[in-house]
Amino acid sequence: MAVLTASSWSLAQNRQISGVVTDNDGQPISGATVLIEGTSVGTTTNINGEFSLSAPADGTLSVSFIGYETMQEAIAGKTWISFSLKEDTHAIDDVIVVAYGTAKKESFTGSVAVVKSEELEHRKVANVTKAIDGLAPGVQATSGSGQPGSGSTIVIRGFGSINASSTPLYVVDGIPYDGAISAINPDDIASISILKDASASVLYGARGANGVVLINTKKGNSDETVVDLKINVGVSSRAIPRYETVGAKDFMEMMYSAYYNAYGSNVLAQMQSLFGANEMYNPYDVPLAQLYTEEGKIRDDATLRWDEDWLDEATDNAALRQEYGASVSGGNEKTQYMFSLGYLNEDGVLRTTNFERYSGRLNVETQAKPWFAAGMGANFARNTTNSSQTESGVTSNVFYSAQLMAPIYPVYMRDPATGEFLLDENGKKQFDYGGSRPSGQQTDFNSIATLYDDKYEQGSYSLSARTHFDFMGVEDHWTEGLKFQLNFGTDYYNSQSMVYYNPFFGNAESVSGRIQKSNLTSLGYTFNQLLSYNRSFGRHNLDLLVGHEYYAYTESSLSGHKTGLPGGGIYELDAAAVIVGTGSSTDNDRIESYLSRVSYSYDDKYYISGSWRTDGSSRFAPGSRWGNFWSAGASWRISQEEFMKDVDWVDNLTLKFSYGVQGNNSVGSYYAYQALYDTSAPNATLPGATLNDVANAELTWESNHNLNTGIEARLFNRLDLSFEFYNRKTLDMLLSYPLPISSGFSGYYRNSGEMRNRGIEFAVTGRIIDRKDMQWSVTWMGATVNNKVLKLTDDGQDITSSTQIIREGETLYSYYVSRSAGVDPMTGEKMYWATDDEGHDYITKDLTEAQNNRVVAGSRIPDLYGSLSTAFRWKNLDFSISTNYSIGGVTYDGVYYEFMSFYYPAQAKHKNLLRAWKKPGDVTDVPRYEIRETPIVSDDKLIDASYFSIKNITLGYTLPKAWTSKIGFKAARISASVDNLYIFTHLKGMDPQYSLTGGTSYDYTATRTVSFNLDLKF
Amino acid sequence: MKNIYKFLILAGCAGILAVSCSKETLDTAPAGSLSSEEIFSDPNKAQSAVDGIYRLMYENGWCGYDSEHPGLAGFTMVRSLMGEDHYMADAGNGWFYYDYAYWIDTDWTSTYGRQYGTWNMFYAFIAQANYVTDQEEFLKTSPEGQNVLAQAYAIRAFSYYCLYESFCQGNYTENKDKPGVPIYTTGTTKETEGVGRGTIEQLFTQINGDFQKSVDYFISADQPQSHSSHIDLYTAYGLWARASLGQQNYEQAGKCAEEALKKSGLKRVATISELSGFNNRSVGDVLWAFEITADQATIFGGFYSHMAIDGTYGSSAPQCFDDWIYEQGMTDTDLRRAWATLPSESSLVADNSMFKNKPIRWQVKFSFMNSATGVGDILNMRAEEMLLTLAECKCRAGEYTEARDLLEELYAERYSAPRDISALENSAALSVDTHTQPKSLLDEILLQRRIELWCEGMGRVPDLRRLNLGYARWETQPEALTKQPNDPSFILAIPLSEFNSNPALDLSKDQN
Repeated sequence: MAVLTASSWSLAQNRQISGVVTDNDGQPISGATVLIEGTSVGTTTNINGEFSLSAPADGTLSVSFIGYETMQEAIAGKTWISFSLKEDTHAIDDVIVVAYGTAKKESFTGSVAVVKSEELEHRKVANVTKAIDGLAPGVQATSGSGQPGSGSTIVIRGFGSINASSTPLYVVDGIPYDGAISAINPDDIASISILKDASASVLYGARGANGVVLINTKKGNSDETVVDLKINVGVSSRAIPRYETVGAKDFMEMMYSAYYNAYGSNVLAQMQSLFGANEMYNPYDVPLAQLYTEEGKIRDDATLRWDEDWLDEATDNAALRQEYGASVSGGNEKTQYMFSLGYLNEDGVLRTTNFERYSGRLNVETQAKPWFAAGMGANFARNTTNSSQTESGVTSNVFYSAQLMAPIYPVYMRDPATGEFLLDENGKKQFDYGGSRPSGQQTDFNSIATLYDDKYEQGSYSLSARTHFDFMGVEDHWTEGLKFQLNFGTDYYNSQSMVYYNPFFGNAESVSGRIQKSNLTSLGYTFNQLLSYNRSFGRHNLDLLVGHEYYAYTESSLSGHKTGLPGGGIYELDAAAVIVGTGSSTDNDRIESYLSRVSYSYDDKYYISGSWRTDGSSRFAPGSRWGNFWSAGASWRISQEEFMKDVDWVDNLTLKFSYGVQGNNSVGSYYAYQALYDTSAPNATLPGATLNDVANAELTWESNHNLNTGIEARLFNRLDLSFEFYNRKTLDMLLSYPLPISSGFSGYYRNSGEMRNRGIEFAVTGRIIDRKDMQWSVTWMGATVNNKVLKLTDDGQDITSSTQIIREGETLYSYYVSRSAGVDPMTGEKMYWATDDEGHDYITKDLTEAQNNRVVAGSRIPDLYGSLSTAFRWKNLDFSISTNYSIGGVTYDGVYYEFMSFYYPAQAKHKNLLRAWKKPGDVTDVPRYEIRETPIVSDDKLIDASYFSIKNITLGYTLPKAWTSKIGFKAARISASVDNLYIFTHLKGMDPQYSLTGGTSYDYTATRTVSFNLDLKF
Repeated sequence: MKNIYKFLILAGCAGILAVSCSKETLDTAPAGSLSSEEIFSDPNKAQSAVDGIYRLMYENGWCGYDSEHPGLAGFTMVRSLMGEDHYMADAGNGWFYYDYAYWIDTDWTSTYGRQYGTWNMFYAFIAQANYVTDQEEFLKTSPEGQNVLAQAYAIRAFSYYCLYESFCQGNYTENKDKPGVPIYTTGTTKETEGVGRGTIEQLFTQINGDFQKSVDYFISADQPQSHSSHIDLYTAYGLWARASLGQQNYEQAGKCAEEALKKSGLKRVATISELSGFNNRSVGDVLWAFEITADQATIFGGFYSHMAIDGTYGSSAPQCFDDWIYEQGMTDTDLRRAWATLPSESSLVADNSMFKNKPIRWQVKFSFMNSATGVGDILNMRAEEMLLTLAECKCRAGEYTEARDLLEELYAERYSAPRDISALENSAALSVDTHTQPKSLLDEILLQRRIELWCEGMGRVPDLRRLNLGYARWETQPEALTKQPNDPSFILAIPLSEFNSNPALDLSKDQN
């Protein structure tokens, strides 16, 4: 509909100008504004993109529409002009979602990194924390467990604390989130904003000391209804290769050598126990007594009958993943809505593990009246997880026990005489429960059988809701600019889990089976009231905010435990005969806050903001409960200055600075300041109480003093640069202050100590080719983090663990190890450096002396880490690669060293042991085989933790509009992608991303997924 | 204008909501917990603070290898396995075998092993006991309170004695100037600082002082023993007797043993059939025993799971009587041979077990009361131990007739035919070789101790240390080691984490 706004001048010279406005692909744009330059005369285009108006012959028409670059064309006597508008993707970038609202990126004084849904969509994950790795500078992520549904641990700008949490606050649609991250369907996410400094996270100050991850879900749109269907099918396998362990022949020869070192000529008699009753585990067809030559080698004429790999047996390198989703979004100017449904079923690479999710989300926003707006979002998810034991060092943890099984022990029973499988009456293989396997090799147990026979199941229901009511002042009224918001959000989570041990073999054989069921319910809610005033007076703009917030969290659990099942396949407590125990508990956590913020800007060039808040936490005693936090920030849009107007290769240049103080209260316990008698341990039928904590009524908030300064620029309209320097200082650190073990306690919580994290972050994106039909961009992100523990306890004592130390003046979790002096070529023993009282170094073989002379030897923290990615688009084809890199840092790979150890002689062994010292004169770095010796960690055992990983490769094809509109679809895209394709590390089998503080463990390995995706829009 | 009224009304309501919310309290506490004030406001509640310690005494945990730390019973097992009369036929899952084989020495640097577990456990008992003794002023005003105090002092004294046996040099008379262990006598607060090792003599001064206090409070309180797990006057004397033996103070040990035996209704020697399985605390000779109920039984790692022939670990790592002690220490008429004789065709030994029909002396002294639930009481102290202690002290004091009489009491229920000890010399001369037949009366008493108290009480090593004896294990054992008198390997190294957290200790000077 053409609307004419009348203007009374120059009608005589005017002519009728008509035309059409289309987008890049020739589609008409309705509602575009067509203005006569320099006047307020104009019109808007109709549904066909056509316009018609009266304009002077020498005038200029200016056409604009949101999301597109404004175009101008001189009329110059024409009567028909067509405009083909170009998408202004950069304009949309400029609006970021921040605390309780949106802001223009250029005017925002805080430090924020935005991850858009297009980037998230490439990564097919169940839990969105696994997708963030490498998408924002300054964010470190672990690889996360390969258990489907599990997430990664995120740390932003280094470790802020030692004993309090260092992980960020997760906020969903404006309210802190207490639910399970795996209940959020990543397809529902519109963008993730990562707030990194004090100015950005001031509204979450109470718990935002370690940064805030804002997850914003898709809302509707005000134009047209869009229905989106997605299908994704993929296959997963191990992402990290296996450690290189030896096969049966090398293993047998190593055993001979090791036992010979310990027992000399009595070697064969001592080795007997390795092979079970009657040598049943001797994989060769020759008995032990005749198997070896004089030199301890296997005879050439002996035939190997089996060479087993337990972990292989439990691994499914073609685990299926399928995901289906549908969403509908639409609305009009007043009301917008979106609802979506999703289903995900992901099998794990470890057999019998699985994750399944049904989820649904509904978001509605409405500007019901000019003075009233409201919105509500609700999310429901039903998750079911089948997992496995993952505790380190527990035999039923397959990644522990199966990995460490020597290749001579068969998984399934075999005939010792022939090596053939012993089948049961149905012709199926039977698990070997190894009654006579030696200690440490799953005696009377088969962890792979327990995968099938035992169960670790969990099912959960999550329900989250966010709602807001906004009352705003109307225009041309004294209330203009005034707004009163009520925000309420709640997360309800209910999970039922079961651990079941079968009655036939393994852990619960002696009690005829065991069932433990537990039920956990948690409810968290946040309610805040915000009053704000935002008004512009000429070139000045003022924004004031005051508010109050209350947060409450309650968690209760109930459990039951029985034994004595009548048979297999029964998974309910009713069927079990003997009550072992029941239990229940409730925990509460509360925070109350008062907050305020002032922002002022002048001429869209100078911005300044300040905030102050006070928070009270239930975790601290009444006298020390309240903490005060504040921030101040400023930014200067240099590119808006007069002197910059002529520099047209600078599109935007902003300088910003902020400083503030934030709090952290997430120390391990909800009741950290209290020492209460725990009554949960009765003595037979009598009540028993023990004091398990040492009280500290002075315990209070830990505070983070953050400085952030940076520059953001856009040059040549092709190069986006951002560079930031930050300095985070933690004061009054919540520390588990050590007490001597002989006091009966290992420590108590106290505010003691200071720590600093400092570094730079940068992100450079170059749009090398930026044409209508071809685009190519490259992004390089990098960050450094320099961590230093400034102060610990009053007397500056170190806090030492077995391999790491926390010491004043050093990096957190520095490795504290003995100094290796190599291997003695004459005896094959390991040598260490020690220093005597005069400061002279000497060599020792004594382990106590070596431990006494430990030194700080580096830490896991890298020198530089980040990502390098590229995206290419040509016509309908799109292709992208993202890679992550990390340079520097060392780690101690405990799992590798378990393969190099003879403490449990009959454990699987690494091939590097083949180069161990054998005879006098051998020069090598691996000492001689010593059975039953506990090795200590020395500096030569620290491995370079640098890595390069190919995180994601995606290739997609958008079907041409011509085809899709024929079958009635708006858009259709098919794509194929690989996640976690490969990681290059310094040791094959090591996962350098297992932990951000260093080390490795027997964890469910991360997975690589190859998937195919179909996305239809209509 | 209307809009403004609507606006104001709504804003007003919202404002009220805002204010009313802040009335919620920020005071939270875990449900089911009690403050110190509440526990010690009433002596009956205070008893639960001591019951908590008793519970800890049979809990597993204490270190990374928690399966091999079933509380006090684990301590007994280790001290027994480190001797020459008790061995494991196979390593099984490894639990306790490394103690038996003396392979644990490098474990002191971690928080997984025996060293950390033992240190941590006894100091945990001491810390909890100290919180009770801190309340002495209030508790001593009532008999129930005095009873509670008496128990706390006894627990503390006994814990320090056990620490002595684990971490300090034996043979007290010669070595009393050697380093002891850190002593704490007040409840741990955030101001608590680490202390140094002191000397063994100072340690025993503390131990004897605490036992004296305990006995005095028991006498003054005059309360009956309300549960077999509660230490009472007689148990306290019994524990003091043990500590006195360790201190080589035989006069005091004799007095204490005599007092312990004065418990009314105590059966001085129970019959073999009454003691069958050693898992029932209602047998008449029991002075101190823990009751294990079904919901508190630890299936993996509890005492019986290691010892019983059908236990999770006991079935694959048989606990055995040494061949010499069975064949030559015990005679054909010794009824206690039943403790090491498998009932023929025992169904408790699994058919596929590699030990079926092996010539080992499986122990059947200890067995489950109910293996399905893992229930079996733990007998900590029996009258027979006091009898034998008394006999030894009488012998050393020259009262040979009384000593022989006490032995006869024991023989009456332990031998099917009278045992003739008339040929034994009336002296306290000690044979150095532990694998010879007794020559003196003392040798006989000590032999009877080894048989009767096999894997009970303080185990074998404390006796070896105070008697200054070494041994050469019988050759049929898988680890037939030889140990010198007061061999340094009888002592554990102090765990590294203590040096890391206690500035008063210096790793280069204070380690064993």
